Amino acid sequence: MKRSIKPRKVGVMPWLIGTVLMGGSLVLLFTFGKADWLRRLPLVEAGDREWNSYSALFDRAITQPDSARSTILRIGGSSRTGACVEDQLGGSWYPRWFEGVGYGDSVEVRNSLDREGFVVRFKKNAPYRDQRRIMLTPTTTGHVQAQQLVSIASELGLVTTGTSLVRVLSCGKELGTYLQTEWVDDEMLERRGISGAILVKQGFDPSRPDHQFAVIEADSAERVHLRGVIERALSEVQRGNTDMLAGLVDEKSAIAWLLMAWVDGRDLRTEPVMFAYNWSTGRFSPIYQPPARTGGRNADAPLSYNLLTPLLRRAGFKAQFAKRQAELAARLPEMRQRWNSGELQTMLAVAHVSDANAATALDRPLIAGPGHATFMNGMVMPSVAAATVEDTAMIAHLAKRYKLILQGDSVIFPRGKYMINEDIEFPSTRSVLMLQGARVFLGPGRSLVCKGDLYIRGTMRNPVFIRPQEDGAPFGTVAVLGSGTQQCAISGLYVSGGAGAKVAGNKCGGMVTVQGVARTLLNSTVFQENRADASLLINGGEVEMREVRFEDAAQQFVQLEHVNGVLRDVTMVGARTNTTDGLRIGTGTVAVIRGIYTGLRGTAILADGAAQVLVHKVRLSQNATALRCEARAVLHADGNTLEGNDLVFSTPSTGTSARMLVYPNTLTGNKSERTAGSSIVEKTELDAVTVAPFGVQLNEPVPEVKKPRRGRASRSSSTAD
Amino acid sequence: MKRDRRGTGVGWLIALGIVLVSLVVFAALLGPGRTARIAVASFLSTTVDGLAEAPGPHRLRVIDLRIDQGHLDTLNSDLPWSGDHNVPAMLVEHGVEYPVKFRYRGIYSASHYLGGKKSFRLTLGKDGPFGPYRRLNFINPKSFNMVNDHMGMWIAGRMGVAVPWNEMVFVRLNGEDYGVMEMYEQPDGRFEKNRRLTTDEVPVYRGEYPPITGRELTEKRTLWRKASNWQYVSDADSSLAHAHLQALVDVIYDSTLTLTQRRDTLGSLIDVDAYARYLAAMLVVNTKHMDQYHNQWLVMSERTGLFYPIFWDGLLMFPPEGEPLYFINDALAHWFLRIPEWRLLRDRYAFEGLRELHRSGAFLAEYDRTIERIKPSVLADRNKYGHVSLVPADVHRFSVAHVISSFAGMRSTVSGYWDRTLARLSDGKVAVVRSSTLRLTTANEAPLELRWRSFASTPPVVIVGADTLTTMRKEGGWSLMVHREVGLPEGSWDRPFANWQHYVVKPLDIELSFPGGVPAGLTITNAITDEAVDQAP
Repeated sequence: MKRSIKPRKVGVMPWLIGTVLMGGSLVLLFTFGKADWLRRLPLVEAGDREWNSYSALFDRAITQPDSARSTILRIGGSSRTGACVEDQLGGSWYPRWFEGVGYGDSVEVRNSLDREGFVVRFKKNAPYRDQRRIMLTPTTTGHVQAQQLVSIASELGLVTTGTSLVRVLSCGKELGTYLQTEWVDDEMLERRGISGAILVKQGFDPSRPDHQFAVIEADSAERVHLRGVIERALSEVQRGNTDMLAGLVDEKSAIAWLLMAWVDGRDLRTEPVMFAYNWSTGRFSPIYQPPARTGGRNADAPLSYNLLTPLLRRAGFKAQFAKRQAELAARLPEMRQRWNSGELQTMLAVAHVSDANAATALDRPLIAGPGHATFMNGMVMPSVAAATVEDTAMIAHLAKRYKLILQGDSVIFPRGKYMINEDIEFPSTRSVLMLQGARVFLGPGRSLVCKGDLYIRGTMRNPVFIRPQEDGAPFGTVAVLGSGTQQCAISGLYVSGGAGAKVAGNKCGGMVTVQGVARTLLNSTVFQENRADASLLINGGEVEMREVRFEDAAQQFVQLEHVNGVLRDVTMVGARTNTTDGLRIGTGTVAVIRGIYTGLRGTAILADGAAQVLVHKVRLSQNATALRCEARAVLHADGNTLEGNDLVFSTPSTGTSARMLVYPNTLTGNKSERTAGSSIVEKTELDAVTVAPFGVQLNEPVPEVKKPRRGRASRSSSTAD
Repeated sequence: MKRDRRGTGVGWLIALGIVLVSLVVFAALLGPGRTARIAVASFLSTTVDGLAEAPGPHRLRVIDLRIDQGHLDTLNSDLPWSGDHNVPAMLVEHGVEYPVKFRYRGIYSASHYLGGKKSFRLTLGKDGPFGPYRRLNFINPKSFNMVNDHMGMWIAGRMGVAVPWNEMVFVRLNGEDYGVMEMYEQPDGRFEKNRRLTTDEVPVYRGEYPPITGRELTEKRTLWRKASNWQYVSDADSSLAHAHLQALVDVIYDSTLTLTQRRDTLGSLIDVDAYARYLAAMLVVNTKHMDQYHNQWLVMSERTGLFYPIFWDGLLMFPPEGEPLYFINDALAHWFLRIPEWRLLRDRYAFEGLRELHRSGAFLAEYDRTIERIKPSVLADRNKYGHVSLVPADVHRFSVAHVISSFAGMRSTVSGYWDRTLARLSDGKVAVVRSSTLRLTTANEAPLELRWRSFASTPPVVIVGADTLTTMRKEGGWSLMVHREVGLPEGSWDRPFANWQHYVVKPLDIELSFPGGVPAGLTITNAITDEAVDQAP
């Protein structure tokens, strides 16, 4: 039997069916399939270009345009200039009406001076989402990727500016999509939980005379001091020694910033770099801001001496840079999948990110700014010192003068009286211990600063005292200024008579200030009369307080910022003679369990910023305001006894997203229960799910009250039976 | 067809004839050399510059200005006299219009106001786009290569001398290309504030020709003759600064002071290190443009309370006659360069600068980068005006061919001059004869340093003729500087206010007696370079 030589005819229908079936399957596959497994089919791995082409052809998933998802910002006309914002002349500020999410107020707007777009300045008492300034930049292709770059920088551990896409309407007219960027200022550092830090701006362009000295946002004495430190470190770099610089700059963030500078392809000369200088650690950390423009016409031109690129000349730093570079390159497939933007694809190409020449390309020749040598004449400069060198001689001298005990890394204040008439700063490598019976008398304005751990180990019977030497002449502060890893444990302390102080560039507003410490424990301690901003100020870390008492005249008893903590059985008794506030919680998650808050003529408990607060089984009586909630804070009030207060629950009526959730409480004899128009939500029952984030149990057992024994114990009782 | 071709040929012949006749006429009127230069510049700018197609995007900053034509006409109506008042203008940066004040500037050099590219000054508001700078000059570049002033400033800045912000820019005026210009900060009391050194203004004096009030140039005044010849341009309190300036003028004016008195008094009023760098930069840049009458600035440092200079308008390779090593640009330099220690300090800074700029190739690298940056803008600039002959009034359009040729010329001029200067500073040919005494003979210009090791704690007394030389303890031994004697050339008038003088170094022939004979381990080095000298017997 012969086979037919005629070609078999395939009809239209089979062709159609085949095409529709295959095409449909591909559309379904690319629309609903997950990229990570589709791209790794056995033996067939899709390349970038291949994947993009197929996705463009077959991915039919409905995506919302970015602009549709964006927040709308409305900027109105100005009374000073008739023009709308897009026609505004020059760089001056003009008052305009501004509307954002849950916000509407008069603000000031000006054109950006170094890029296209505007800067919006809000009133001090009416910030927009906690921000005093925002920058709005029209979205070009370069700016769209800014959000992703910020996200990567954030993952690398850098402090970054928040960015988001918004739609801007001016006088009712659509101006298009803009990139809203957070302004780098002190408030931004506060929002990131970085306290005790100042901003320093440094330019890298040696042709600009105004870039050769860092701009330091501090008072004149601090500015002169810090400029001297920077110049000394850079003059050492000029001599080929980077040790001092390495001691000044936070290595991890410096590596991350340089890596980001390599990834985003910025011209290092065009935009100055912002740094946060932490007074307590004495280190600079760069802040990442996406570049206004990428690509450099000065790719090979020298840079001015700066705080970052010379570190690439250190073998260890360079090795770490290469390691982080490799780690980032390894995470690229996942990142690219997250952000499917063409620009970013190029930026995040493996070949670019993992380029072995990155460090060499960033480590460009360095020269001083024009006329630098002339300006250096007469400049105050510290002696060359690596920051890690500990001042052991100073500690030994202190120990000798005050009869302290040096034991290993600890400096011990044993029982005794200590008259201190100088500011003392214990370095981060030393733990300070005050033992029961130690009585520290500080001279007027004098302060005690610990950069390492602080342990105060008194008892209620045999406490540790910290007092001013003279009545009416307050001391400064007792401060623990850590770098995030230190511990502070205080028990059996009686402290009074502080006024707060600025030490080592740090504003320590509390009579006792604890800042940058990982864990703070306070137990059986009494804070008494003082003139400081707060009797106790804790910024950062975990906090636990138990049976701590605050009493007498003070502006405020406790201020907590950026903390997670539990306050149990705390007693606050106002002096009634002034408007003392009790507990103020800024950003953080805090549970206030049991305790007594009474006689406070300010606010007994105030939740502010973005705080999450649980007030549970607390007795609040005779206060001007018992519970208040501001800004974006959320406060849960449950099982409390509220009696004789002027006002019980208070929230601002407009302009904030503060919420107070009120569960069953016992209210008796209060003048007013709540303010009109306040955002208070009544709830029936507090559940375990709500309580869980605060790290406490819903029905925590009440500790047994130890009653003091009266009279002598029977001798025979112990021997009975 | 034949008739047509003949017609064309005749036309060409007539045109050629007209050109030749005009050349002859102009040659007769202006002289052949001048005519040739103008004609060549005109011909090349018309023919060669048009060949540049699509030069590419500017790599320089583009300054976009809008000025009402009526205001421009007023300023242009009677130049140079009519251009010195401010008119409102708009500067466009990042798409935003900034109100600014505009005026022409420069009256003494015709290149500022003749031709199609006039130098001007912008006064910006507090929130201007070029903050912190508020007053900026835009100068029609003075040379064909357009960058010689810019490079002069770069060299001085690199050598540690205070300089204004200086950048090459491309200017557009009312939507049309105006061309490549040099942007220059105008110093005032904010000079240190702009450099983030202070928060307030500091005293600043400007040493310039007297202000023009009528329609004629005012008579030049010698700046250091009177304190009032210096114009105070700051809002800072001036009482202390005026007193110091008066004292400085007095010490310069007084010719009766001894060298020591003068050194000590000057040292308490001026920043000696900064002036040594300034004079060193002048030697390296090879310029005489800061003189007794203009281009001078004095800033009183907030940190030291001493005056330091600003290097201003230092044209690269605008040399004083005869390539002197110690050119006296003004009365202060007249005294400064007489003090041997200060002269040595200046020489060391000059040598250090030349070593870095010339031997290490830093200058050529920057020069090449600058040319690369400026290239597209120069090709796009059809408005290049400059002096095409030595006659001041000959400000005409020049071509890109002039620019290219000038780039190459500057490269070789700089290289040749720096080779010669380095050789002079590092010359180590000294005839040394050691016996009971040490005899040093040389015709070069460098001072010498003698060093020897000794445990003696008291300074040894070294005698030269009737003089006793001062020895200093240095690195475990003793050091003696043999400074060179300088004097004015014969016939020169030895007065600080004489113009454009220079010192010459006198040949050295001295015999030094050491207390215990010539030390055994004595080494002789060139005090500028610290290199051992070639000791000829």
